[in-house]
Amino acid sequence: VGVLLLVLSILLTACASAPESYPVPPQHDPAPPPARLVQADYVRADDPGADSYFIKDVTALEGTFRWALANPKFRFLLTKTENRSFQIEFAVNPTVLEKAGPLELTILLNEHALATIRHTSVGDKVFRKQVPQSWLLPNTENLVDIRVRNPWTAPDGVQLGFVFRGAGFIE
Amino acid sequence: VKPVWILTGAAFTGAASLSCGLLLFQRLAITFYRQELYPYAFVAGSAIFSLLIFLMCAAGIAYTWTFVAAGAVLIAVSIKLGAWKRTGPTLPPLPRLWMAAFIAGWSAYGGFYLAYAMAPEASPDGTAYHLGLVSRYLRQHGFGWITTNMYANISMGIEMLYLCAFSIGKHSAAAVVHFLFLMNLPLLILAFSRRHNMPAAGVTGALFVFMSPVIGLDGSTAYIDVAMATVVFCGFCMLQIWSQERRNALLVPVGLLAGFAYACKLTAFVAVPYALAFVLYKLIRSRAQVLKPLLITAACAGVMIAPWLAKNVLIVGNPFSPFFNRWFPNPHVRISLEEDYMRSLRHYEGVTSAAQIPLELTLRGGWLNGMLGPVFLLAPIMLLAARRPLGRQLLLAAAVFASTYPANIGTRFLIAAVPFIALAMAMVLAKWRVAALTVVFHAFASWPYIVSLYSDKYAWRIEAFRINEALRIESEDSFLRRVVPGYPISKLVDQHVPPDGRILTYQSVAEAYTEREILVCYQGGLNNMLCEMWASGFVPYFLPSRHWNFRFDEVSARRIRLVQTARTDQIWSVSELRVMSPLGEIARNPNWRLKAFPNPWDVQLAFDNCPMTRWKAWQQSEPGMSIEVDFGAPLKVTGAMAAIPGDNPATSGRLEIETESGHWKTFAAAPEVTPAPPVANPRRTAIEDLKRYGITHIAIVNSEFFANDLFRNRAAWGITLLGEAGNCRLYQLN
Repeated sequence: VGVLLLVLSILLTACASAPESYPVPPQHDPAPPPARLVQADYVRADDPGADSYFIKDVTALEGTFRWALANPKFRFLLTKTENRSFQIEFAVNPTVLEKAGPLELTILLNEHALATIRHTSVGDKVFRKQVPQSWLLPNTENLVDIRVRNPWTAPDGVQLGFVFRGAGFIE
Repeated sequence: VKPVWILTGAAFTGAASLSCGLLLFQRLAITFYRQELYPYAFVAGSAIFSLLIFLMCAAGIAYTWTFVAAGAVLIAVSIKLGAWKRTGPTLPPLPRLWMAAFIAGWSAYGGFYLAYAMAPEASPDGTAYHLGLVSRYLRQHGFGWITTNMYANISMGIEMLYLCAFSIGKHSAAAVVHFLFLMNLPLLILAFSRRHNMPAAGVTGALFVFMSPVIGLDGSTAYIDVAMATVVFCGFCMLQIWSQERRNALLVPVGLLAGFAYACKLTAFVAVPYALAFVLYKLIRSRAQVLKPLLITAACAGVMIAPWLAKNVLIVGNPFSPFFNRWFPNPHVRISLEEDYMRSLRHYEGVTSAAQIPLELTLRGGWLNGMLGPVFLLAPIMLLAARRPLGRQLLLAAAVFASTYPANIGTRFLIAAVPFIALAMAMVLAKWRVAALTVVFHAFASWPYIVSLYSDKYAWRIEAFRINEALRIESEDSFLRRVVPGYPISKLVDQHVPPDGRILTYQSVAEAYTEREILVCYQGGLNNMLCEMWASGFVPYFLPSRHWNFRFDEVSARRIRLVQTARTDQIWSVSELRVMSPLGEIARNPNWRLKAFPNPWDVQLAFDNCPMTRWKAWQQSEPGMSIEVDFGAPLKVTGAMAAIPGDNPATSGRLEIETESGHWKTFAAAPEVTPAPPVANPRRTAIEDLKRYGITHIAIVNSEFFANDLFRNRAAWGITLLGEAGNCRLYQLN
């Protein structure tokens, strides 16, 4: 009986084959947002597709960071605007600090001045501040405009501001 | 109260198993020495009781009360029929000193192990799938139709016993059932040795095995290796008895145990050819009738194996799933997954040379997950046992059951061979009169607090005497939160996910402690696809990166076929295949029929107009792989376009067209390649597609490569954070 069951089990596998063919399935109909909109709340310098968040003055990826120049601008699509804080992760470069003095940034959100910050030491920094809901626009682009008061003009003529690691909106 | 239920569940399962064995032996009129009867009957009976529970699961009647009723009937009948009476002769007595040594080692280590087994189950595999599936079978009162967890396809003979115990005493009761096998194994070794007039070797070999750190730990958790080793050794003993007595009745338990070895663990399948070859050899040598004994053995083995094969055939279409998927292709365990999995089992991180293995196995145990103990450095002396016939039998069995070790070089995978190795070593040491010394050394060196002095810091070993945990002086919840990384998220899942929810996750969680369905990425064909789709929301690697364009003069086609032309270790996939006319894409017609080779089951994914899904070969690219469209009637076409994801840049293809019935012609030998446009809104699209496949939640450890993106861009993904536990976050799909 056991042997028969064993043989039967294996023979049955012949019945487990796939159907001969399949019909065309229902067609997927994604509804993407307008292509110009950036699609997330937060971007890190090394994220795939990070370029779509940058409007100007952010360089190509160098390892895990990018250079922010004199006036970096970003855009974010926010589907939720209440209780949001803007956060930026960056670093003060020793050469820039030495050549141009303390780093001073003014951050504007949709043309509202959020803060002006100043750093006199090198190294990694994180700035975070709550954003009034009325400044933010749901389901459309929100612009972040950062102005570096004293960028350093490198020998190749590029005006370097700070080392950009990530920025966006958090809860 | 909890410890009482734990012990009740395990004791009841043990008693029911023992009753089955006693009834079997009584029915077959097999007599053993008094000291052999219960150890043999427990193991042989566990095979039968396991089969009974299998049948109850298959019938969908897996309830606590059905297990209790079945077990109670077996116990009552066995008592009523007097099967518990030990009427056989007595083995020669053990010398007192050896008897004292055995009792001291067996009880001291046994107490340690019992506390460990009674403590909340915390072993990685025990909490993930051994008991994860047991728990699920009990919830759904049977096997159900699980195709998204390859561990559900492995034979689970021991887990059937766990299921009975679990239904009464939950997780720890299952571990205590394993502990019963652990306690029984040295009794078997000792009984076998006494039968062959080598008591000193018997005590030595039994304690070598019993006190071995990896065996003690494994046997005190809801793993199954020690139980399997006990089954294998018991079968060996019975074969030896048969070779002396030549009673065909003995071949019934021999066959059952050989088959049960397979049912316990796939790697123990060698027990079946071993038993059959042994019987055949002995019969031929003695010029006895061959057919009937062989048929009895094979049939009994088949009774134990066939149900597991049949279950797999019915559910996943491969009797030997999760292995041999090239022979039995199916959509539930991918060929590439099996190959990756097998490769990972053969190569453990940190073991770069075979020369490391002996020390890893015996002393260090860090990379190979556990060690046998330093006394096993003496294992080569076992070869000297070959001077005696019994020694040769032990060495042969050791070789047979170690033969599968290269397939997985973890220490646990040697456990089936260890009793034979230990007894062969003990025979030599007893002859040299140093057996007692080595036992004392082994007892000292294997004591859990001593092991930590020489083992690798991260070796899998018993770390403490868990009496507080066993008695629940420390609460189960508190202990599990402390030691099981996947436990907190499993509780969070139970708290937030509705009973019909489905959670997709990259890493194993403690499924034994959740009542929800978890889909772990690597554990099933559907899971693989869903996780690639999920990750595609963040990395474009799996999304279309280039188009293969095939253009030619207008032709009337009945069928077209995109054929792979490259042989590469990359896995070919096609996100979309579109048929073109001079006016653009020809709209897909419901009458078209689609085919693919290999992996025909997913062919629709290349025709669903979704950039996140794709047909994938799930095995390395070979010329001749194809996707085919049958238009049903001649259709004027001027080309085709295939969207190819970025993870198989070395693949290439040609387009063939059937212009007349059965007449295929190549119309474009190679594609013109152009870049594919980026996929819009991939995060949200990925989540929407997961929802289409019934996923309601996702869980991800914070160290996963896109965990931070999920957290920071929840709105873009369309997910809501429900909570964080144990370095893992749980999200609901909006």
